[in-house]
Amino acid sequence: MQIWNWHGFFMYLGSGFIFRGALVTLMLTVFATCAGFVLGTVVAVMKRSRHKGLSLPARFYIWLFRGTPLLVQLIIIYTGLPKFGIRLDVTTAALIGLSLNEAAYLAEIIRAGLDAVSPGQIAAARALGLEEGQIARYITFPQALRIIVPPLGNSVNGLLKTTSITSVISMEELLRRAQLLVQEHFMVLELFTVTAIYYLAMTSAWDMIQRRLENYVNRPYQRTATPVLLEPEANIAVTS
Amino acid sequence: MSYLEFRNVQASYGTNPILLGVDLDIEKGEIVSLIGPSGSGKSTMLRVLIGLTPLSGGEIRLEGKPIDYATKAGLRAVRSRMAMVFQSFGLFDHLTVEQNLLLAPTVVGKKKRAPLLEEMHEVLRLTDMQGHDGKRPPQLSGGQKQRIAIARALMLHPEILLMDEPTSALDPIRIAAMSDLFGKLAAQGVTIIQVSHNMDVVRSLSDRIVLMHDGRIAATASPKRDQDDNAAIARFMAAEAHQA
Repeated sequence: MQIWNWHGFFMYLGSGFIFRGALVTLMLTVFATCAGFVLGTVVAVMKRSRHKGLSLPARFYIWLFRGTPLLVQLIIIYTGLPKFGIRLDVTTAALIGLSLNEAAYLAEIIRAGLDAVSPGQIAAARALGLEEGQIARYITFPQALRIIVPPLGNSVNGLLKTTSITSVISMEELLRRAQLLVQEHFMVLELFTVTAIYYLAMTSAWDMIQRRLENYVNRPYQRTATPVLLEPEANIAVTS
Repeated sequence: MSYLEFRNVQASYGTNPILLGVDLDIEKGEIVSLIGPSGSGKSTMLRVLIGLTPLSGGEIRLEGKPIDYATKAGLRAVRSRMAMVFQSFGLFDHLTVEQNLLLAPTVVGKKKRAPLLEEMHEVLRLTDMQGHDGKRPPQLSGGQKQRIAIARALMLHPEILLMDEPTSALDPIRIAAMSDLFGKLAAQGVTIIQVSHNMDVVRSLSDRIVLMHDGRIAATASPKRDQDDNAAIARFMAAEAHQA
């Protein structure tokens, strides 16, 4: 038996079956990131609230979803909920599980970003007459984004690979499709190498997007790297 | 009836009482300087007045009417008549000087940008910051940030200008220029309440000096009327001047 089959390797690399699996992985990642970001923002804002009725549920949510494996959450959502009459198809269960899990992690990242905006700026904005919604829109969120984007990028990179866990509830994403072909043709090494190449291509593409995002949110700060011109009043102070 | 009246004003941070019942009358166009040791409640007086720190007792009246800090409309009304310069400046680091200055007039005041630009250039000229409108606060020195903080407050055309250490980062020549500006504003009817540790500014600028101690007013003096300050105030000012 040969160790490596080049023909098989190239066949799988160009396989539409595997490619469509990668598209499913991509779809799961994009959806869970977007839904997780929206839900994570809500949870982060709730957690920062002074009202216990808001902050305690947010804490509980983060504690629960960060404290249990995604695998367990997916199995409970997919096989546990039908016992209570809630029947979900595989894709819906996978999307819900990934989004809920991602939201818990993103909530902590977003909270840290919101906390990083100095209270002095918030007080100044209130004194200027801005209302809380306007402060969030014009002051807090634009500055928080700069703090949020780097760890968010890490989280998305992780999520891209974590989507493979949905294969246990038979979600036909990239890894599951590779496994299916392995069972048919037994070319384990070739198939998983192709799978790895697909994941690498997707994470590399994300790296590029993330760099652009970071540049975008850092735009207001980029010119600060240039040295501040010697302040004329410093001269006056010395000579007077 | 005075223009602005503090009546038994009390405030606390959490369980820590800061103001323990302050009574103070301020007239329109007056320049009042709050002095006193750290923690005596000077900055809290300003924060309470603009509704950043809630009153825990007493009331503040503006033109005879109690200020309503409890409702959004009340807060909006009082803040539309005041502006505050913060000790830490509170400039928005992600916005340019121009955006810092125009944010409140456009977003809160709903004014058009084009006429505001002319006003902005005038205010930047008054604070000797012309030509800096495209920079962001992290690119400015401490003294420049302070003057932008003053400029931002002036863009609001406040009736009452609250300033917490407005000259702390400035050199003597700029302090003189800013004091001159504050004097002119007061002459136009703007009421100025400032917290300051600069006793030269306090002595030359103030219509009234208010010495605070442990959340209460310990003494007041009117340096423009009396030759000699109140004894307690004179002692405090001498000690501050000695430290400086």
